[in-house]
Amino acid sequence: MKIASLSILASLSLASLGCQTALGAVDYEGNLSKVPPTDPEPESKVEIVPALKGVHPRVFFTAAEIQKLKEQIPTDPILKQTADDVLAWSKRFKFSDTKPAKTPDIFLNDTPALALAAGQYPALAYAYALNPNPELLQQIVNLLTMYIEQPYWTDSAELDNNMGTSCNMYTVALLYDTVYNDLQPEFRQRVAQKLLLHARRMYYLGFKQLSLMPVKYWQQDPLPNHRWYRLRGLAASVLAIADEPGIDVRYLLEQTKKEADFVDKWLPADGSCHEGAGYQQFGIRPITDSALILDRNLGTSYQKNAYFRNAWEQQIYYWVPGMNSNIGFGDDSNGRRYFMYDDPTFFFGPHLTRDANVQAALERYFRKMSARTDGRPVTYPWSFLAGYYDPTVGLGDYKALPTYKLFPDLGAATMRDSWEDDAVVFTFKCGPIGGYVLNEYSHANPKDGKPHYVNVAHDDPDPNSFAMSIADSFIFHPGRYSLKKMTSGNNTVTVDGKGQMNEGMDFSQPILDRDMRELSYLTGWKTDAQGRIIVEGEAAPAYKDSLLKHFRRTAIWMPGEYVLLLDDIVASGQHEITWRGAVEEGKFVKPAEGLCQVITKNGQQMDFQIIADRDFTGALDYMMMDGRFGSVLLQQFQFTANSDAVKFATLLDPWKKNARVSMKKDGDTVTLTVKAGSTEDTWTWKPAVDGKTPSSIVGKRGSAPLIALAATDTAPTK
Amino acid sequence: MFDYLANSHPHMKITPRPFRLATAAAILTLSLVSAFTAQAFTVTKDVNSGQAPVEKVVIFEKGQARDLLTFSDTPECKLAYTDDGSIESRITGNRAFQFNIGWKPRPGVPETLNFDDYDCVVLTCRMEGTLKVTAPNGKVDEKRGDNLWFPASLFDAAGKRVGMANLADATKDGRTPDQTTTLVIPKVLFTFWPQEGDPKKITSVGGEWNDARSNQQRDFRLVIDKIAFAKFE
Repeated sequence: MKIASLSILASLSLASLGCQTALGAVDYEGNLSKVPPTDPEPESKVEIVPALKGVHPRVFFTAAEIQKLKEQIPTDPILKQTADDVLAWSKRFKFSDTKPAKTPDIFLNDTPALALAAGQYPALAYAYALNPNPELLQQIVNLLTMYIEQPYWTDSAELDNNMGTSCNMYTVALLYDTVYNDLQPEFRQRVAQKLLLHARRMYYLGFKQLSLMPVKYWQQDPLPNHRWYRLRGLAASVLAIADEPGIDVRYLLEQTKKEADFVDKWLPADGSCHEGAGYQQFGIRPITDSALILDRNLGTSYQKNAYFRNAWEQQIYYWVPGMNSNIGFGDDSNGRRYFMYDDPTFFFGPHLTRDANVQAALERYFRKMSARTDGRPVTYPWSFLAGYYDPTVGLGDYKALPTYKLFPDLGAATMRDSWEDDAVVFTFKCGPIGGYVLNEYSHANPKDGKPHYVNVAHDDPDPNSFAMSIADSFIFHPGRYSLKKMTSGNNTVTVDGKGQMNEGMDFSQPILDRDMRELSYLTGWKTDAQGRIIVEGEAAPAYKDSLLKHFRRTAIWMPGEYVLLLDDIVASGQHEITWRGAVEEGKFVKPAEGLCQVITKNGQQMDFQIIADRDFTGALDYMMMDGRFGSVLLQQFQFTANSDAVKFATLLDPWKKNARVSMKKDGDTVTLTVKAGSTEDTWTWKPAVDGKTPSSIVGKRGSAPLIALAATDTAPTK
Repeated sequence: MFDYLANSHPHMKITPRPFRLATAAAILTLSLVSAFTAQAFTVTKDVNSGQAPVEKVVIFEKGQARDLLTFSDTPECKLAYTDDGSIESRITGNRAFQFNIGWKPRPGVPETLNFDDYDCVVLTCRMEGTLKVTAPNGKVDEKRGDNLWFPASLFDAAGKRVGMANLADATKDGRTPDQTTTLVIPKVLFTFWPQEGDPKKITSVGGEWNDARSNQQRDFRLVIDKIAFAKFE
């Protein structure tokens, strides 16, 4: 294993990851010689539950579950439309019964395998389960025959243990299990032997890291979705064939359960994904499938993990309904998204909690994210039939959901003034790179005297950053899937143009000689009954060369009134401390009063005011916001104090209250007066006494107390 | 409690003296003025001021004498002047190409340009045409995406690329212009991704495309009316 090479591998796209031309010729013999001829005896007994022994289908659904689904379909509009779409598509589906002239793409490249094997072929299983018929059976047999005849399920340097292989294993296991009772015994055996072959290759070459490909990028920690895809493929395969005559998967079953136990142990309880909401969507189905099929077939209880109850939150709370986009962090593309076959998995949360309001929020999310502007009909994803979506939960009121959410594992929070299309959405992030659970894993499993390597390739150097949207526009842009991850590309602070330690890479690497939990973290979190929020982070230790001693950023969310952003920065000597905010178009309205404006292409406007406790300059410059799937030229506000310390106060006015702020300072105590509409608030701001304690911030409206942040209002990490 | 700026400006320090209304008024005035000033920031750069960048070096302008530039092209991107004095690159086929437009030094146009001296490239151009795509059944479709990913490139004397900026990234609508448009291409678009060429010794401007798929045929016409290096002032 060569950890040093991980950055190279992490930089490979999904498409190129499995491509032999990218990584050199495939050593078939060398790789396959690493797979032992037989498995050892298992140390423990892991078996299919008695009720499912010898029974098919059982892996992803049972006959009883299909019967229940059939009963629900006529009365539920989502299930009805999905079933209609799936059945209609299955009638059109034709798969040749002749061997393809060249190797199909699903065996060469991850992307086609993801799209077809994991995204399309599974629909055949549900179509057949709902309406078994000889025509469809023949197409499935043709498909399975093609799989049997292919010597490798990914013909690449990562031979038969990459993500594409796992997708192929998953769909073959699902189809095999579904049509099992209608297959000829000899054909069953051929499919089962093929699944066994690939399960063993996946286990030994992949999970046991015996592949000759030197870079072991997904095996080093429990959270990469790459790992979850492989777990699902392995689990589906061994569960499907576990009691087939002449096949012994006792050891593989035991190892599969060990792997699932390991992953289960380290799932973040808040259901979040440190790589951003986009990657959360990409990984949610394989991990949920893994839990479901193992629980059903082995009697385990992985789905009780709080992760599954809460995973929907990151999708909904980082969603901008007016844009049908995320306002996410990390390698979130933050562009227009459509509801795809992975998305119904998030309905598993309300299935577990029976929360009808969450169900309603997800249902609205589905409706809006499915809408097409090209007039083409919306095809419902087949995965609505896959057991995540539970129509018995019913639809409550999405508006009843709280309008803010703290994600403790991420050290991040989102807040909005409503769930409607014209919502103002504000996000704040100051967590450890990778999140708390991943870092706990890293430190709990040291290697060579250092914390264990963890994959944070999709994380950004973004502590103490914020983003904001109004209706259909980003006001302060959340960033894209950058291949040159710079702190200056996030809405935070740079010092002499420099950012945080791990900036500059296409795919980030962990900082193993430090505890990343000590580099950036939320310090304060306070809410009140009126929906006001104070959230605060400390990011000074994250900066290169010990440039900063103190970088406390505090956001005060006053819904319907204003947002106040406070920066208390102390540098190690005199430096250029630059506040950065990326916008589509900016204007200096009245520099003499610190007044600026953000304008978007869609016609949104927001005024803001920035003041400081010392002289500073303002620049509006171009900014290249690069993205793996498209870049955009933005503008960036850059406010710079050439000083050893500075306090910035930035007042955002999304609700057009003609808000203005002024500042007075007495020693270390700063008093801010905010006038917004007819209100006048004062905020007394005292710096934190140390690196961990929240600042003291007390708000008053006249003599009446507003929200306040005190030393005891620490932010949770779990 | 004093206004915060008073604390940061030594000349505002209040020293004991006989109290006089005029003095108090002066202090108050200064304090208010100081507070006002302190909240201000000094603008050092504004790319959105509404002022066009100042064109420091005009390499080409429609109608200029035809012996001031040098063309380097291939059959896939033939360069020529149009009858009315624009530069045209006729882009055909599906092979990779690169064309270069060099210049002869003359007053106001040095032999090499140092990119440090400029903030942007001003390019007035349009790209007409479509991509012809032949389907397996022989049917030919004409397609034109919004973003053609066609870049303007800068090269040094050794022919190494200094920078490459996708034209669509410099537009407000993210589309490669098919009507004559003046693009102000900021330096950051050229330099965001480091290149091998020497940015202090730019000697030509060009365009380039990689191979297209074998079933695709390009049929484009890039018409250039102006190339200039400019600075925001």
